[in-house]
Amino acid sequence: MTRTARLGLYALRGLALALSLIAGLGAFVLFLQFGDADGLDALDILRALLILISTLWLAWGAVQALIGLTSFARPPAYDPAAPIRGRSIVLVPVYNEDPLATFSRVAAMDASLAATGDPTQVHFAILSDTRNETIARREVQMFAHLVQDRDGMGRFFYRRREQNVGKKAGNIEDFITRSGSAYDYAVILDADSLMEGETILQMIRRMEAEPRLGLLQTLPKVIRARSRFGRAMQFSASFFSPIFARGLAMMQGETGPFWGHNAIVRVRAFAESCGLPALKGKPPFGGHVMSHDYVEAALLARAGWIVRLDDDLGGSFEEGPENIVDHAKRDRRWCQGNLQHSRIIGAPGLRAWSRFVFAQGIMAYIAPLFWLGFILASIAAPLMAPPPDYFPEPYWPFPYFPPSEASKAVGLAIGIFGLLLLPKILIAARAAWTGRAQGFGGSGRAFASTLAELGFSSLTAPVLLMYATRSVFQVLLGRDGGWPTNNRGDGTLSLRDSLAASHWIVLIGLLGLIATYAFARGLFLWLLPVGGPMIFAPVLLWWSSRPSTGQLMGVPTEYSPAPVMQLHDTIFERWTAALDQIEAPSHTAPEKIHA
Amino acid sequence: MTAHTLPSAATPIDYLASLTPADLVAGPCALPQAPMAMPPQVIEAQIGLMRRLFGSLLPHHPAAPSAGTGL
Repeated sequence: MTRTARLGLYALRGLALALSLIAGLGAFVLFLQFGDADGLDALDILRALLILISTLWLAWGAVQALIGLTSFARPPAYDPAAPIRGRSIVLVPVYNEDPLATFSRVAAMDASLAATGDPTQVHFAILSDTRNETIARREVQMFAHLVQDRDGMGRFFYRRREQNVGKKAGNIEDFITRSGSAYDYAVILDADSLMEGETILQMIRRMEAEPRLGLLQTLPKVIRARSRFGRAMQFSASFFSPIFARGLAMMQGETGPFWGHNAIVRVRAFAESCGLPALKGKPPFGGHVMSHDYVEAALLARAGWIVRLDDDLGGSFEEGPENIVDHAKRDRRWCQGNLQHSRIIGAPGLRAWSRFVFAQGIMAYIAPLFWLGFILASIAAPLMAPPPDYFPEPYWPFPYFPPSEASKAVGLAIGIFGLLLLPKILIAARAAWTGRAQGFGGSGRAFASTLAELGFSSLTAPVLLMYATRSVFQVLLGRDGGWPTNNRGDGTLSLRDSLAASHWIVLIGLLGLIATYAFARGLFLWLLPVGGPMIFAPVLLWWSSRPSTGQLMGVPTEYSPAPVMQLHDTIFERWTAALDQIEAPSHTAPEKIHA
Repeated sequence: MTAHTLPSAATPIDYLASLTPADLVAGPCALPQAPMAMPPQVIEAQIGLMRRLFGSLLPHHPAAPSAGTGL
């Protein structure tokens, strides 16, 4: 990076931080003025501090989007048709996943690579950590089917570990220590990842064009969502996330992110820099590193390798949770992993930006606690406030009414909502202006989808906030969340399941609103948008997990599925039919799979 | 790296058909043996943040002089 580019990067980071600080301090001062109407007390100052931190955090996200809006994703300088010299492999770690779905994705990616006509041979390795013996047996059978179907002898590999030491990071490390010398580059996927062959080839070419590049991350789009919740997440990931990611890419320089999948690494760089020992002590803070990806990105940067997010690369997909409960389960794991980073943030030699990223990751999970603290302190405030003094001057016959500072509270609320809403509205406006909205059903529909997503996320936010808060408390109390299997099925929740998963949220919501009505009646209407969704959490969970049939929140891959998705659909259907035929007599036949 | 090779007389399809799935993953489709070292990195500070902060705030007394060899 040249000196000018480095100065520009620091200036951008400084500007982003300054804008966020201004917003946070502005909220702090406004709140102090509001609290001063009846005399400042300790609770007012505490609340002002809580609103300062919360607003700073919101503003940081908004500024990231605003920066992202100022530029467009562009490819780096390289030859996209250069012959590929290095040896590459695609790694697919699996853990109790459905083998048919996972292995048919591998077949689709291989077919997509073949369709490019490029002579480069890319290998695939399925790295199984599956603990369930029935699924493991099926994996082996499906693998044989995959090899035969794709004529993949010598290109496809399968390995199942006896012990899943180190979870996913340990799985990848086991591959590298066993077979790393055979490859120059490794594309790391998740079991639900899907990538276009052309994207994989371009990732390899970009690695070859920049010898200092240790890791290249793509921006995966969520696909195949069916439920209301899933489609809202899919729309958000497809419509809003690229702009936020652009802002992030502009601010991170050569210290980019690793999100654990849909990325390519230089095997030598990864091996030299990313060996992860277990942390001292027991889980949740000690033991194996759970959110290993952030740590690996930081370690690569520490060793002098470039870590880059190439958000211009399309053709990178993943699937997401279909309901709030599955989302909360995944979030519980991420929460523990991010809080565990508090042990790593002080590791020697890390880049300042890497430490900042760890801090951001921790803040993402503890931020709800600040909002919760603010709400609780606001309910308690009227109990602590002194009674109004209408006759402050002795012997003065007329009462004195202190000036109302309610306008400042309203202004503050508008400012906070602005930070939440404005970036998304601006993204929709720019999408209409640039024509990007065409892929989302046109400008009108994209704008309506934006409003629908804002409404949907406002409804679900209090419920998600409660799950996140519970996760943080569980981790702080020393409870290890383990490594639950991702549920990648249909995801529909029954009302009974929804109630079982959220009855405690209903209780807290009810108690909170009753307490507000009793002690701080003036706040009741303000807190209704928070308490209301909490009381109706079971219905919300159930309703949002139902299949989505509306026209809103359409994404480009729904209007026109990507080629690799079409390949996957075809292969999946063909394999399902073939396996139905094979499995019928398979009770008596030997364990062989013949065409 | 050790490569798995097909028996010379067999075509890939014949060879594949002669293998059970278990044979396949244990033999020709097992990961290649090409080890690469992955040394564990230092990812934790030796002393915790709070201890470092307090340590830097507290006054440091010079170590007592050595008793010497002649005593």
